Amino acid sequence: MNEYKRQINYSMPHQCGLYPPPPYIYHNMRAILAVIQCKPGIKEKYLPPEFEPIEYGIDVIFIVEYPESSLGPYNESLILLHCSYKGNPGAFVLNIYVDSEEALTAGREVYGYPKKMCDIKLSPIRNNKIRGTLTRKGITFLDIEVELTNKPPGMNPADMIANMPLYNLKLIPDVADNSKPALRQLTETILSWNVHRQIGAKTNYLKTKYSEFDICHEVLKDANINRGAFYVECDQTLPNGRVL
Amino acid sequence: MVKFADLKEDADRFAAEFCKALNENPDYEAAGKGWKGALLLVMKACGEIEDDLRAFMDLEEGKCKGITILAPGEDPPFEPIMTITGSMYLWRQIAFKEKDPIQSLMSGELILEGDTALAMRYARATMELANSAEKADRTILTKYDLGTGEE
Repeated sequence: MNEYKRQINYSMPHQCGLYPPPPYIYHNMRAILAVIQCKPGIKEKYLPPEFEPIEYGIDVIFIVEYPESSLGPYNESLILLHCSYKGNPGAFVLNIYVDSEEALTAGREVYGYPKKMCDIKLSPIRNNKIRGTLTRKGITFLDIEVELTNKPPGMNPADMIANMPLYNLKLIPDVADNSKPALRQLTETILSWNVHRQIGAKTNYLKTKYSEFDICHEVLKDANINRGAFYVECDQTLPNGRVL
Repeated sequence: MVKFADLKEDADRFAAEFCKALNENPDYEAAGKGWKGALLLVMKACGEIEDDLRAFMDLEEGKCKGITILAPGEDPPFEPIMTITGSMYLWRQIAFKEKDPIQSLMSGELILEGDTALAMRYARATMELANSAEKADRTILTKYDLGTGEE
């Protein structure tokens, strides 16, 4: 008798769902997190009206490799804009890129993450440097390199992540009416990390390229990259979020 | 070698002017709204400086209530919410805007102990602290040979 990995009546197709429910657990991930500062004035163009941009804050480019997770192995990148919601600071998720259908679909359907498929590369550490690239529809629209220092970051990365709620705008189109979504929710999720290795870093360069399919170049092209970075190896938990 | 007693006068002047500059900075007032508590800045001795310098900053709602330079071994008036430590050489770079404080934190040159949630919430206030330092008499940071920042 054949065995099926079935997830009934949670995600579609309902008789054999594409992905299981959260929490999603990630083991032995490695990532670079580069702090940048978007040019003042640019964020308000791309944040939903409920969010207030925090200028001169902590905007982030995050590229991660998950060798093992509840959704299988995949790579991911997040572009985060520091902002506040009703006075509470957090990071609005401008874009997430992934390279697996489970990660793409679960992220979009459960959390409202703005995910797109993308070719994501995160190099091993070579000469103390790590390079990450994002390529979509034949265009490498983001290319970043960080250089490691010989010290751990001066701020605990696990605490930093725990205190940076991810804000999202979840939009589900209406089957019958294109003029307004069937669902519009603001959501919040909070990641947690169990860190095995952490190294401080600086960003050597950030190159972005125009693509008609992605807004990243517009948002990042004039960003200040001299705000530091870090490299981390850790386990991650992504629990259920909440509707704001 | 330069001891704390030699630094005290310049340090006190810097503290008084830094506090005044913070109180005259509307951007710091906006960024520091909601904050109540003390921040301890530790400037580690380097170069020809022999003693660490510690500035105890009593801050509330985007205003500076006072900055006290603590003598070696002296306890702060009350427990600071956050302590940020770096070499005096690095603090000079931050005060002269040659280094970004967030960058220094990420690279591990500055070390933050205490409430990280508050640090994330008041990231912009950190920038405004650096901006206000620019308006104070920074002789304390330029008068002596700080070497390369190594202890």
